[in-house]
Amino acid sequence: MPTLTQPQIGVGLRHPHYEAALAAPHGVDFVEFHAENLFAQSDLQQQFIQDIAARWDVSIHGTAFGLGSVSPPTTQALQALTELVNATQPILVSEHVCFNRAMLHGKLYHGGDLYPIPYNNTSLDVLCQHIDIVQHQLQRPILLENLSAYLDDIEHEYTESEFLTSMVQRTGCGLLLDLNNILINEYNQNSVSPLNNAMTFIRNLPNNAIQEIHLAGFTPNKVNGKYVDDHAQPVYDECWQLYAQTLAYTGVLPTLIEWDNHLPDWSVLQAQAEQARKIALAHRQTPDTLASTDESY
Amino acid sequence: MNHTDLAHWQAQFITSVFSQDPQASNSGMAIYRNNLVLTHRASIMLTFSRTCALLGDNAHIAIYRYLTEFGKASYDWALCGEHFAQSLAQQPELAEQSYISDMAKYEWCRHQINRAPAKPFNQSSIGMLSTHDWSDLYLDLAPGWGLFSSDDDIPTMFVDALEKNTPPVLYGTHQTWVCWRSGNAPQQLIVPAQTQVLYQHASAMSIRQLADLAEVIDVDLMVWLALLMQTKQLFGLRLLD
Repeated sequence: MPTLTQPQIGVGLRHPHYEAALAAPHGVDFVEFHAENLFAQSDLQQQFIQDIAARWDVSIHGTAFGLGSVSPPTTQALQALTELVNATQPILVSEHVCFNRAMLHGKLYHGGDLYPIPYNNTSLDVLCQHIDIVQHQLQRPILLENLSAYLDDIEHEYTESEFLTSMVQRTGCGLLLDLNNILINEYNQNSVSPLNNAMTFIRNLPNNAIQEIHLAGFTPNKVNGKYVDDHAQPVYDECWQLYAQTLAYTGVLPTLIEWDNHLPDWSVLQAQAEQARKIALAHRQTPDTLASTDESY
Repeated sequence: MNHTDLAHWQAQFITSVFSQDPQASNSGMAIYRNNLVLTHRASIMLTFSRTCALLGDNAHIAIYRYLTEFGKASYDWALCGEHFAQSLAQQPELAEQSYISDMAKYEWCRHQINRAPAKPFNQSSIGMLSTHDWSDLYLDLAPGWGLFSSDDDIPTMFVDALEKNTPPVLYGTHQTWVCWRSGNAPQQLIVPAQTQVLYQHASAMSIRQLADLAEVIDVDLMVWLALLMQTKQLFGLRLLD
C-alpha cells in the first residue's frame, strides 16, 4: 500500500459517541470498530452500519480471533467477519499478534483478551497458517498489530521485530504499528531510552509493510508493578514524538486515535485527531522523496 | 517447542488466567486475570442490568462465581451470559428469591430478541394456506419469538427494578408471556391459558398439526393466526427448509 500525501486520521468509534459523532463527523477521515461488536444481525445494527458507512470510511479491527491460538478460528466467526467486511467495504482490516483460547479438559476456554505468544518457529507456523485462512476467506490482506505484553519470563527464539518480519514475508500481511504498545513495553522493562529503543525496534521492521498506526494514552499508575495499555487517557507527549519519528521513516500512513475507557466528549477525540493531522502534515512527502526512503525487504 | 508443547503452553496460560486462586503466579498474569474478571463483569452487568440491580451488593460476587463455575467459551462477549440464570438458580443464598434468576432468564430472552437477525414481514405468504398442503406449511415467527414463564410478574419488575425503593411485584401464580421483536423493540404479551398449548408448539408444528390441536382445545385457528399477524408476532408462512 503506498504511503499517503494527504493524512487519513481516524478515531475508534465507541457506543457513547454515536449520536455526537453522526451529528459532527468533521475532522475525522475514518472510524474504526471492533469487529465483534458489529456481528449481531439485528435491524438496528444493520441500519447503524449503513449510517456510519455513509459518513466515513470504516476500518474493522478484530480483537477476538486470536490467530496465534493453536485451535483455528471457527467457521462461524470467519463467516461473521466476512459478512461484516462485505457490508462495510472497510479500508483496512486488522487483528493482533496474539492467542486467546485453549482446550482445557475437553472444554474450550476463551479469555477474551490479547495474550502474548512465544516468538519461535512453531508459533510462527500456527500464526501464519491462520493469517492465510483469514486472508483467503476475505480475499484481501489483513494487518497484524503488535502487542503490549506483561510477562517477562516467556522464552523467545526470535526478537519481536524478527518474528513480525518473518510473518510479513510468509503471508503478505501488513503491520499495524501500535506506538503506545511499543512504549509501554519499554517502560515496563525500565528502559533508559524508551524513545530511542522504540525507534530502533521500528527501524528493524520492513517499512513498506507498516500500513496503519495506532496512537493511544494510558493511565500512568502501575497495576501489579506494570503499566497497562488501558486506552484511558489522551495520547501523551512521548507517543506524539514517536509518531513524528515513525512518519519520517514510513511516510504518512492512516493513523487512528484509540480511546476505549473513561471516554471523553466526542470533541476531545476530534481534537486528538487534529493534533495527529498536524504532525502528519508536517511529515507529508512527495512521491519523489518516498522513493528515496523506500526500503524493500 | 513443537506443536504439542505450544498447545500445552497456551493451555497452562489460560488455566492461570481462569484460575480461582486470587494470588496470580506473577504480576503480569495478574493483569490478564484482572482484565478477564473486569470485562466479564462489565459484560454481565450490561446484559443483566435489572438482575444486577436486584442482586445489589451481591452482584459482583454472583458474577465472579458464574465466571469460575461456567468459564467463558465464546469469542463473543455478548454470549457470555448464556448460563447466568442457571448459575443464579443454583446459589443456595438465592433459594427464597427465585424471581432474581427468573429476571436473569427474562433479560437473556430480551438480549437474544435484540440480537436476532432481521427478517422480512411477508404478509402475502398467508396466501399459501389456499395453495399448499397445510402439512408443509409452518409459521414464520418474528425475530426472537419465544416464551417466558415465571411465578412472578417479571416484565413489570423489569421496568421497576432500577428504582431501588420499589419492592418486587410477586404474583404467586404461574404466568407465561410470549416475547418477540417488533420494529426495533422487544414486545411481550401474557399468553391466555386457553391458547397456551398453541403457543408452546407454534414454532415446531406444521399448520396442519396446529389446526388439529386448535380443534381439540376448541380454539379458532384462523382467529389465533389473525391475532399473531395483527401483533406482528407472525411474519408470514414458510415451507419446511
